[in-house]
Amino acid sequence: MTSYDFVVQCGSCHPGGGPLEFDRDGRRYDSVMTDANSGMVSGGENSLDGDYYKAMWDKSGVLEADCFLCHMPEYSFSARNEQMKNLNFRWAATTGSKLAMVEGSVKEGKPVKLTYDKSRFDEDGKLSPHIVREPRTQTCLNCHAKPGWKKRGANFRARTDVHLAAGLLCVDCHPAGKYADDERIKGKDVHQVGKGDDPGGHVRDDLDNTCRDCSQCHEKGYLNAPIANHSWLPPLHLDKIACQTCHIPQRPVKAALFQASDVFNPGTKIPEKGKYLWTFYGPDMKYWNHYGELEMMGFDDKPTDPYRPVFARYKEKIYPVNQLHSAWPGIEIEGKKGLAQPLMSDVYKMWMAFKNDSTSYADLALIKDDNDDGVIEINRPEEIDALISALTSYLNKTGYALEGKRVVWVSNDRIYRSGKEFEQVPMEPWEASPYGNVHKYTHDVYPARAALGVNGCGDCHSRNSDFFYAPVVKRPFDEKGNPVYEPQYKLLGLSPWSVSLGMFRESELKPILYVLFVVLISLFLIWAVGRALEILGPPSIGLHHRLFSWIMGVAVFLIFVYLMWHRELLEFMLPSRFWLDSHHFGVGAGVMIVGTIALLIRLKQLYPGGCLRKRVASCFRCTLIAIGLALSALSGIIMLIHPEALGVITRLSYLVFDLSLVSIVLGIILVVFREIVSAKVPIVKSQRT
Amino acid sequence: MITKKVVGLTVLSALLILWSLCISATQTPSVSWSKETIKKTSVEGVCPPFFLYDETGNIIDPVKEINSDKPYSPKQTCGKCHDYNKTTEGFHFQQGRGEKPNPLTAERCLWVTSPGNYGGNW
Repeated sequence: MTSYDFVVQCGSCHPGGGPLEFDRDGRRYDSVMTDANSGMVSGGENSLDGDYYKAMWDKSGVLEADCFLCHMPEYSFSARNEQMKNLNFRWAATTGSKLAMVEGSVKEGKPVKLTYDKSRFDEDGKLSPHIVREPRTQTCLNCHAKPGWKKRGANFRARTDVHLAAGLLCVDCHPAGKYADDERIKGKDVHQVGKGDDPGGHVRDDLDNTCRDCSQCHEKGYLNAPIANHSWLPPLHLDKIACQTCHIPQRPVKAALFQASDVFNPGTKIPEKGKYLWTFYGPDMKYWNHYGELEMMGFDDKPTDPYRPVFARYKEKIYPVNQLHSAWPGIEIEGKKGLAQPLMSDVYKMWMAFKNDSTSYADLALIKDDNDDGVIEINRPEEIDALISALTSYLNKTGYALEGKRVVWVSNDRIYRSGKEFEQVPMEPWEASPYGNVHKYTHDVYPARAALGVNGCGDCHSRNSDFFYAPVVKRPFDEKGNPVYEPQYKLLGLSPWSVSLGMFRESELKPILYVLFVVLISLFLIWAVGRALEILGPPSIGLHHRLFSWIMGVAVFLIFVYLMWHRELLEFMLPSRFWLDSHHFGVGAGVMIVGTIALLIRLKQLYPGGCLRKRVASCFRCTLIAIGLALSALSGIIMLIHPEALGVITRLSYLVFDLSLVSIVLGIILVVFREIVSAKVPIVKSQRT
Repeated sequence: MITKKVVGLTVLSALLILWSLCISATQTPSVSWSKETIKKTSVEGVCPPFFLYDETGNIIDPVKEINSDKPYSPKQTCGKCHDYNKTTEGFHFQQGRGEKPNPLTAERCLWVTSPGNYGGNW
């Protein structure tokens, strides 16, 4: 693509200036072309110079940076784009600002005439337009909305974004100029807009993370943002997991998960011919006519297609991402690392030739729709061979110099030289394909009440949770055309046993602990009522009185059993799972304190004197409590300190801590139970006195 | 004996109060109204009525029909007060022009000449 083509094809979004104004030597394009000494010819080949090849800068003018494009809310992109299509670059800013009407077209060779709207000017001929310091959100979305949908499933609407619902603007998080926080971009007239750090984008990587991140508002209270208090969450989580991971549990609209640029897709209403070669598949790995939807519905009316994000590690943290999978024909060059690619227009023409005459590049007929989704896909060895063979023929026919080169087919990290021979190239841990971008999700943040974790640890650490076990696409197609999946935890580099232990802890061990609490409370009630009757009751305590205390204890337990099958009532009457999980430190400390008291009482009852170790060892109940206390203390300390060097041990300590609590509670239950059954029946008060 | 208990309980209570004060101090949200949050309004914050200028720097006055057949030049018009060159250094304007692709992209994709859309990835 030449610089001139770049203006025509990409200038609708790009605000002008830079490469839309100056050539690679920093000279203004139109000045060069109008200079008789330059030797440039309007519309000529101009020595195949990429800045001037077939360009008419002298007539079109250049596209200066158009300030009003961002700073005038009423700016008309459509009026500007109309001028771009007509190659009236010089006039685009004037009509985009609605200051004048323009007639004529450089492209069509019609003289361009301009008529200003005088009503916009005061009597001195001066202008006082409606311009704003901070561009409106809609202004940014004029360019960022469509790619945001395709790449990230971004909706950018108050309905699905808590920040937009609160009335924030893009520039509140992406500040620039005097209002930026970061010194790298701060300064009058500096227009480096605060940016994040997307794995799929490398423009000005030196300015990564100059935008306001979550902590700048939700820790410091900027713009009166609510302070995020995660005191209930074990600190290990915030060290390893990005805010977005929990606060973007779902994406509102589809994103492209797989882009195949190797076959001609059957979509309708695709606005540009070449885009028929971009065959998209959504997060469900079903064919998605993205450009057709965009053409028919537009961005504002895109359909709701919620899906769960994939999680990947990027720079030591887990983020929700869209990892793009890719398939495309490439060109391998002898002695060179990396790949080139054929012109997409050549691939398109090859397919069109085949579609018009099936004897042209007839090998392409071998490429079938193996999964019956209505779209052909390349996945079997003979299909790979067919594409390589057909494209090689096409390129040879067009005179493309293939000496020292060969056509390959690339699927994610596999470079196929034939259907049965491929080379695997290395990837970053967050990538699904070295040739497909990875996009972090940051927009469309859900309210805190909808975040992962509001239902307790089980939101992630349970067998029903997608966090670890969700199927993640590993390869777009197997030989039958079906996607190949792997569990999410593999992508996160976790071992199955460590994930299973977490599941066991949250799905089984903690519920057991909480049930044991109920058993303990019930037994304690039996014991306490018995003791109360003994102290406060009639002089003679009979068996029926003991029975009364048992009835009370068992009733409490049965009520709990009933509640277990009536979850809403359970959460109404008892602490919720979230409350229990979020107060796990307090719960654990309480268990340890009660366990210590029970241990001391029991030891004193058994042996008023003697060796402590022997006393503990001689009583099973005491052993259970003592071991539990020791292990819970040790694991608790590791959890609180969570040393980086002891990663596996830290993770294990969560399990050990809960196992220890179970051990302590079991020991206490046995102590209380023994107290109950060892009480003498009947007890006659008068005998005691 | 009673005095010892009273002293002990007093010390214990004091420690508990101190502990709770420490806890509450760490948990109370602190909103600092620094110069970052209260922005100073400066006189240059509002553009006065201004003339449009064409590419050669001449005033366009449609009311008096002066140069009123010329499109206005943002560079000449806004550039009278604002540093156009500094502004257009922004990556939104440059689109990767003048930047080298990051090493991994350059190694993988031979056609990529910049990290941005200009000479960039696709």
